[in-house]
Amino acid sequence: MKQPVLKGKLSLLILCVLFFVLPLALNSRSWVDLFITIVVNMVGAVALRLIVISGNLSFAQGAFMGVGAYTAGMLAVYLNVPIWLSIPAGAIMATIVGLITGWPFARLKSVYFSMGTMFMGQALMLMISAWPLAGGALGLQRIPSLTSALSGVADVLHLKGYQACYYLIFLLALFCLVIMYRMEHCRIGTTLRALAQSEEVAASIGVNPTFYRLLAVGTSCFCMGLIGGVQSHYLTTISYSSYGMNTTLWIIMYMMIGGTGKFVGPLYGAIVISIVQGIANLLTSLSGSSNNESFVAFAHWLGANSAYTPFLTAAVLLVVAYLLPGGLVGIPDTIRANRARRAEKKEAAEIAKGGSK
Amino acid sequence: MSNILEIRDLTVMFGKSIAVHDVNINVPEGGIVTLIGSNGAGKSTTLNATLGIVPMTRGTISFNGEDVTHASTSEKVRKGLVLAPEGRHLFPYLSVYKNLILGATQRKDKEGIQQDLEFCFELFPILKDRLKQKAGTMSGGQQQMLAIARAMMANPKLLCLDEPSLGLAPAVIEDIGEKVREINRTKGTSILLVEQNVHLAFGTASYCYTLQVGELVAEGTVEEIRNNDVVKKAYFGG
Repeated sequence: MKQPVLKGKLSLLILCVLFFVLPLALNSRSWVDLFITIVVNMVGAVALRLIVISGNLSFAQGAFMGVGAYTAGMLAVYLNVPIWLSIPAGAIMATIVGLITGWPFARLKSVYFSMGTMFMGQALMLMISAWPLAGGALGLQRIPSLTSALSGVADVLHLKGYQACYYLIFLLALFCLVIMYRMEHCRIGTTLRALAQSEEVAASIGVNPTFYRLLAVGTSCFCMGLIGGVQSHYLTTISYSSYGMNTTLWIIMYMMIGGTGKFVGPLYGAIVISIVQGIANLLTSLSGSSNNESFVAFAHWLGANSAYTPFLTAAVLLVVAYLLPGGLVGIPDTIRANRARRAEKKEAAEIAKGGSK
Repeated sequence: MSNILEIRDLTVMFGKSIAVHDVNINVPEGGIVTLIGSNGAGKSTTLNATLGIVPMTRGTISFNGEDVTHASTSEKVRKGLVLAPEGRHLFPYLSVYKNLILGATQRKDKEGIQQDLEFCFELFPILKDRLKQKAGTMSGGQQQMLAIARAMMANPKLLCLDEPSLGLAPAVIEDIGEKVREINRTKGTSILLVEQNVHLAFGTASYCYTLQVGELVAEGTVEEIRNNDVVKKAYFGG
């Protein structure tokens, strides 16, 4: 049976090219930092969606990112493990922790799964915060920097240090996204959707629900751990508070605003909301080198009011919830449906008119 | 003739109430056996316990000469013991094609899956026209056909059908019965048909078990059961 091969892939390709070219063209650290944030958030949102299509909403995504980040960071700090080993180790550790904790949670459904993962995520981060080796409340400091590790590569390719870092993170993110895309578009994805609709029926036709749920959780955690690990080396200082409830909620926001119906949904959500979050910082740092007075004034005004960003995001979420049932990615479908409804109404009105004559 | 399925002393209890008590059922290889009884007699429970969807309290189940009492549902499906559940439990928001493919979830042989897909289209041509349609938007009869086809995608040795006539028009029920016989004839699949509709049951099967309030009250060939007073009583209350 032929599957639609090209459908939806064009937008992915365009996104991919944009994310490859733009950081090269926008030759400044603050722009590249924004792109790194977007890429990290993209992986987070898509990894969460992998669990969501099986009918559960995980509230521990941030924590698994933290497990990856701390594992990679601590291995490098205390055991001098090279970066190319510590990052995969972070991913594997996150997978293991995800599978061990996911085993009992695979039996929970909907809101109970969310509650269970939420408390487990909090517990994991509290444990890290209380562990002196992990730096406690101060966070883990002096993690070997990705920029210096990649300086040789950057010189050869005539890139700036932060650009080389971006491309490594981009490649790892691409790797994660390709894995998850493939998973969703083969039989595994169908089975996960079936589990979301009825676990009992799926079990009665021979699906092993626990296996498939753990497969989704494991893959999701692997991607979170990988991206968390590489990010910790880029930031060189990490704190447990950046992997808590807040991060998880933002990831859920990216996914919901983008729309869960399609693979590209969370990608758009992560782009739009990450830009909303990061625009104040970006403009402030850009205004340092600008001569345009009104631009500088605007950037300062935005910086001073950046505390209102969550309000703006909430407003976007409300608009999406009211007007766009499919999220940002569902806009074309929504417009089409509205147009069809209007045409139907018109037709009905005309028929009614004709009848009354 | 050897039996493909042997259920011995099956007892299922929900809490303290006994739903099924000491039921023994044999399905001969290549045969069609029916299990009839009125509402609440424990027919579906018997099937669900056999498949391992409902935990059994006591009893043994052997399939194809092998003890599968403690095997999980997915293992049983892999061995060829497959259920088309009651009430046409499909995945309503997935397409017909995806529903069918999900039936083959335990199989790795791509060619075999393709062949069975062709077989299903031959058996129910309507499914081929509706491949992209969401399963939940089809009519009751079509959904029942899809439920049977999905079960056939697992390449069963024994196909268990739970009330395929439920909520369908008489003409459609006739059609379903004919298809069940065709599956048995062309593929040699043994069939265990659980039914409340005696016309479908008697018209399709050769051997019949009768359940009443969780216990077997009569068994025999369809002719024997048709003229059995106990069955008449069980069914028609006198």
